[in-house]
Amino acid sequence: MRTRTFRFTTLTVALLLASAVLACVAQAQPMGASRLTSDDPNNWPMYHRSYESYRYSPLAQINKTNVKDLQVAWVHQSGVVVQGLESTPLVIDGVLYYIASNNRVFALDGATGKEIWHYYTKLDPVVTTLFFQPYNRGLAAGHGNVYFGTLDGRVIALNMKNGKETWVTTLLDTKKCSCNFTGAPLVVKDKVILGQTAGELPIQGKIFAVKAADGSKAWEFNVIKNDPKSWGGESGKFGGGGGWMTGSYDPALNLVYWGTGNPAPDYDWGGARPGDNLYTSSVIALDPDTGQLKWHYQEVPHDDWDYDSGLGESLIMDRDGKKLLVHQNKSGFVFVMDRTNGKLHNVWPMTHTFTFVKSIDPKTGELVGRSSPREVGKPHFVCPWIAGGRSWNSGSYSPKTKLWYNTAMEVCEEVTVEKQTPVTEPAAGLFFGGDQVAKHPPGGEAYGHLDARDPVTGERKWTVNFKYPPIGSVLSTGGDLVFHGDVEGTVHAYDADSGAELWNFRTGSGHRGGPISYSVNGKQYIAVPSGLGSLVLGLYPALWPEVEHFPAGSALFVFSLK
Amino acid sequence: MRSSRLFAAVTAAALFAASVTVGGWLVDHSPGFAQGLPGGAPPFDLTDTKVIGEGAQLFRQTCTGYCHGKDGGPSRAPKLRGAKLERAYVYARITKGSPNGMPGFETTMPGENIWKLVAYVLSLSKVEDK
Repeated sequence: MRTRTFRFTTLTVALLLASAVLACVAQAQPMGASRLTSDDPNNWPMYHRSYESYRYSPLAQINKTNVKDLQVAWVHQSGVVVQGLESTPLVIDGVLYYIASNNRVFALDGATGKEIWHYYTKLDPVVTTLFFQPYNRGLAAGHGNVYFGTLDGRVIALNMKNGKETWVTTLLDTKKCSCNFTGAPLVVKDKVILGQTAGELPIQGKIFAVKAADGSKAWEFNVIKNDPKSWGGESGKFGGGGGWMTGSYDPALNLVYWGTGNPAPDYDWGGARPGDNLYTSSVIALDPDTGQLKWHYQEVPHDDWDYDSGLGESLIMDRDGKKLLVHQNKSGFVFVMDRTNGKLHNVWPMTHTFTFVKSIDPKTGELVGRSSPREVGKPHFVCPWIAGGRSWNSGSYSPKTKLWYNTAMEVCEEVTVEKQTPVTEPAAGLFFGGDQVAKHPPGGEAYGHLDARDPVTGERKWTVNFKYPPIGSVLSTGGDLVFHGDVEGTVHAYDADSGAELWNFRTGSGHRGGPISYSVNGKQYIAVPSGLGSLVLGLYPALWPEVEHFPAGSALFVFSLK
Repeated sequence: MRSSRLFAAVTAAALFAASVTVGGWLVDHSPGFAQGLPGGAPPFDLTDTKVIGEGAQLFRQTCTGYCHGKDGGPSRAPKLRGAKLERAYVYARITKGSPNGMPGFETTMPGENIWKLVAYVLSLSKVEDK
């Protein structure tokens, strides 16, 4: 009896010790690529949460029944409200990381909001001369670091535990190019991939990979193809492009998918940039190890409207045995491709109002009946506006409901094209080639909406309308909920199946960032960045003058059940 | 004695304030002050309609859409139509930007073009929308 007890105790202790050791090992394991591909429901380890870019959290503790009891757990203020709070936080093992304007980075206790560390980088004064500033859309994590691109053209790796610099690499000559980094990087295996701003500048925009270990440059991909057929005359030198938001990754195919920026100048007065202007306004598939182009699909050949492909997510999904990629172009059209080769599968519109084409052929992708602003000095009415059928904010796909929850804007504009000479010395100047002013659609008021749709066919299940077109990202959860914050400063929770509003909370400033969900010690949280600001918002007062006075902000609201 | 000191101090302060105001930001119409202002003297007459027209073109290319409203109308950036702005202030804003997010253009725009923009923005002050 004693022996049996001894044996049992010894075995128990041994098992407990082994468990403790394993737990310690798991805890100490650096955030490597393996952990990014594993689906720990408690974490939000990258910008779109998963390589598939779903922005879906499987957590279900907060659900349709109890969401009405959601309340504020804690709030964190970044301290800089210029251009609001545009980012999406990360959560890894109970620690929340987020970046705010002026590249301020915070690590907070996910349960309490207590600061663990913060990092404020010293920015080059050149930042105050830039068009794309002082906002940032997000961080990446892996290999024990968090990574971000800076407003002055650097990439910085910070130790996740203490916020100390692991390495700093300068990739861009921001003083010369007036370009920088504002989008979240993507960690793929041993590399950190990110793209630069360029679409409104007379430069050649690129996508870069640096080694996660030391920040040394692994490769760069020039979005401006060196091809005189694609770029007539000297136009390629000033072609813009770049890839300013975050791509997706398919580990099985070992392909990174990235949307590229628009060509410069944004508007073509006729002959500004002869050719189709590859690889601008395209989705490109790159080998993450080498940066080699595997395939490309140009959504808008010779883009005449600033309908670039740089925005938002590229959804990775399989259907009927086909490996698909779903990508929304700024024109408001959604392009569904075979992600093994870029062959078109379908095209459908998110918006009801478009005049830039009569249609896009869903089989060939041809832009049928283009309506391009060409006549210098003469206003040209076109839909959608320069902010797009949707801006760079992301939708959310729930593999549970099989619906894509995505926002759209029904707004038009008048474009007036003007000839412009590119300025590159002493620094690159803005290169739009015209200007525009927002207009209501024919026969109605401009507005926006949040839709639940089949991402492949576009079939719509429900819609919620907004007076002011929404510019915040969307979150869906395993609790069958959809979270979305509006321009007026209210975050809403909707029934994922019906669109019925189940809860809302006024945060006091509008929403431009990405809400997320995570869990710490068995408790689910919803984190909502609140803070109105954006270049796009500057377009609103032409239609809604009161938006000029909507308050800015920069706060992270975190909610949980009582 | 005490009151005369107080009078002297107030007078000195008022004179100082007046000199700062006149010489610095709020009044700049006198040619005598031109060299002491940000940007110095403009290279051309800022009320010349050709200069204003060229400034309007630059404004459309660089300043409207995402930031200022078309023709200086309402936007998130300040409405310029009907705004009573001084030359030195406008010049400083265009060259240096503002802490609220407006970029400075001194390194990305030739000096003459900055003055053309100043001329156009000042011309907008006379526009009164009904």
